[in-house]
Amino acid sequence: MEMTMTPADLTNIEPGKSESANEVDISIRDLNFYYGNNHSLKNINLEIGRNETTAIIGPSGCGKSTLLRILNRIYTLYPGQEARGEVMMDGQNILDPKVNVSALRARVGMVFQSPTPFPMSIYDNIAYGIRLYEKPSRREMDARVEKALRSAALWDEVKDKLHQSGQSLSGGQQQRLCIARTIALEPQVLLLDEPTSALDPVSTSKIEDLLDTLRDEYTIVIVTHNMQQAARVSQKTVFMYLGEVVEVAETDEMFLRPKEERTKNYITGRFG
Amino acid sequence: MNAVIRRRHFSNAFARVLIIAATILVVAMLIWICSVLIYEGFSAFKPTLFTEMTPPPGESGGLANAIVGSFLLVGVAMLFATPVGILAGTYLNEYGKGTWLASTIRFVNDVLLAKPSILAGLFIYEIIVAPMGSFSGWAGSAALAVIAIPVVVRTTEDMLNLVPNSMREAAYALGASRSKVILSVSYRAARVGMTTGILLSVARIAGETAPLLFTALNNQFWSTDMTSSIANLPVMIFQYAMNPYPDWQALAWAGALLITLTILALSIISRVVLRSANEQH
Repeated sequence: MEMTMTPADLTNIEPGKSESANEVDISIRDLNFYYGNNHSLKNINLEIGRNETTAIIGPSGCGKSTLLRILNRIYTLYPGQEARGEVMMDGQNILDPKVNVSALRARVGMVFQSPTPFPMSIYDNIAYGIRLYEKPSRREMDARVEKALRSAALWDEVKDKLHQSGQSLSGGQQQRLCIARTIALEPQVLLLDEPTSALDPVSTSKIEDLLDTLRDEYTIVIVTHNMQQAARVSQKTVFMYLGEVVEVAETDEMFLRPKEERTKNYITGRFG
Repeated sequence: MNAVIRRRHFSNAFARVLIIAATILVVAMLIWICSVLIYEGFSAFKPTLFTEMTPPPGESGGLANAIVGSFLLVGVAMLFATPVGILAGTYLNEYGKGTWLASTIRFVNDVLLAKPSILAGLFIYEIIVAPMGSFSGWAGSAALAVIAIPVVVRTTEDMLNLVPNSMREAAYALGASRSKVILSVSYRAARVGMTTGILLSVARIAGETAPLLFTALNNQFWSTDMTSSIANLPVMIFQYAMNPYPDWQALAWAGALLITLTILALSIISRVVLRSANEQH
C-alpha cells in the first residue's frame, strides 16, 4: 500500500518528458488505484502535454481505461474504488475531495466506447450540457449548438433535422454527436475511451480526422486497442501493462524503436 | 430408420399433441368466457347504464353511481400508488443497487406482488375501517393502492434497469448531478415503460373485488363522499350476480363487460404508446 518509487519508475517517465516540447497540462505523480483490494494501477507517473494527443495502449485489463476514468473522477460513482496520489491540473490536485466534480467535468470532457446519445433531440443533446452550467438566450444557444456541431464535423449532416431524436442517427454520427456534446462545454481536456471500437471503418476514419483538427484546441487523451489508430492520431504514446506504465515516448519513436522488451512484444503482436 | 430415431420421432409427435391440446383447451376456455360475457353483457347494454342509479329489485336502472365510484376509487388509489411506486422503484435501481436494504425491499415487494388480494382488504380493514368504525371510499382506495404499489415498483425498477449505464455515465461526465441524471436522462429513457407499468397496474386494480368488500363496501345511491361507503363496479357485480332477480343479473353482466372493455382499452393504449415511442427512437 505504501507509495515507493524505484529508479526504474523514474527512468520510465524520462523519454516523454525530455522530448516533448509542449507545455504540460496534466501531471500525474505516484498514482495508485484500488478496486476494493485489487491494486490495479501501480505508481503511475506521467505527464500529458497541452494541445497534443496522447494515446494509451496496452492489452485488455492493463488499466488504461481506469487511468482515463481517474482524470475526470468518474470512478467516484462506484463505491469501493479509490485513487491515491496526485493528478495536478492548473496547480490543483484533482483527486482532492474538495475539488468540485461538476466543475472538473466541465473542464475534462469524456467520450465513451459506445455512442451514448440521450433520448432527446439532436439539438437538446448538445444543449443539455450547456444548460447544466448556464442559461443562454435562445439565439446564443442556437449559435453554440451550431458551433459545437460544426467543430465535430456533423453540422452539414444534421442541420435540417436538429429536432429529430439523437438516437435516429447512425452509429458514427451518434459518436460525433457525443463529441459535439462534450466540446460544447469548451473543455480543456478531451478523454476518449476507445471511441471507435463500435464503429465501421468509414466512421472511424471520420472520427480520426476530427481528432486531428481538435488537437489545436484541446488536450486529447485517447485509449485505444488499435495500435494503427494510436500511430495515426497521437503525438505521444503511453504503453501500459499490468497496471504499470512501461514506456512513454513520441509516437513515431515508440512504434519504430521501442526501448522496452515488453513494448516491443506488444506492438509486434506477441501478446495482448 | 433405427430404433433411437424412431423413438425420438414418436416422443416428438406425442409432445406435440399434448402441447396443441393444452393450447386449444386454454384458448377455448378464454373464447367461451369472452363470448358469454359479450353476449350477456351486450344484451344488457343500454345508454341508461351511464345515467341511472343502481335500482332496487324489480325496477330498471343503471350503473352510474358504480361507474363513478370505481373511477374515484381507482383514481385516488393511483394518485397515491404512482408517486410511491416510482420513488421506491427509483431507489431500488438508482440508489440502492447491490445494497442489503434494496435486496430486502425487492424480495418483500415480490412477495407483495404475489399475495392474494383479499389480504390487502383485510389489512386495510384492520388499520383503517375498524378504528374509524365505518366502511369508506378512502379505505377502498388504500386497499387498491396496496395492490398497485408493488406493480409500479417492479415495472419502474425493471424499466430503469434497461437504461444503459453508459448513458448515465455520459451525463455524469458532463458534470450533471445525480438527481439531474435521474430526472432528465434515466426517467426520460424509461418513460414509456414506466407509463405502461402504471396503466397495467390500473388494469390490475380496476377489477379487484375482494379488497373492496372489506373497505369501500357498496352503496345503492349516488355518492362521491370518500368518507363513507361508496358504490363500485366489482362489488356491485358480485352482489347482483348472486341475486335471483334477472334485472340485477343483467346489470352485473353489463358491469362485467364494461370493466373488461376498459381493461382491454388500457392494454391497447399502453401497447400503442409503447410502439409509437419505440418508432420515434
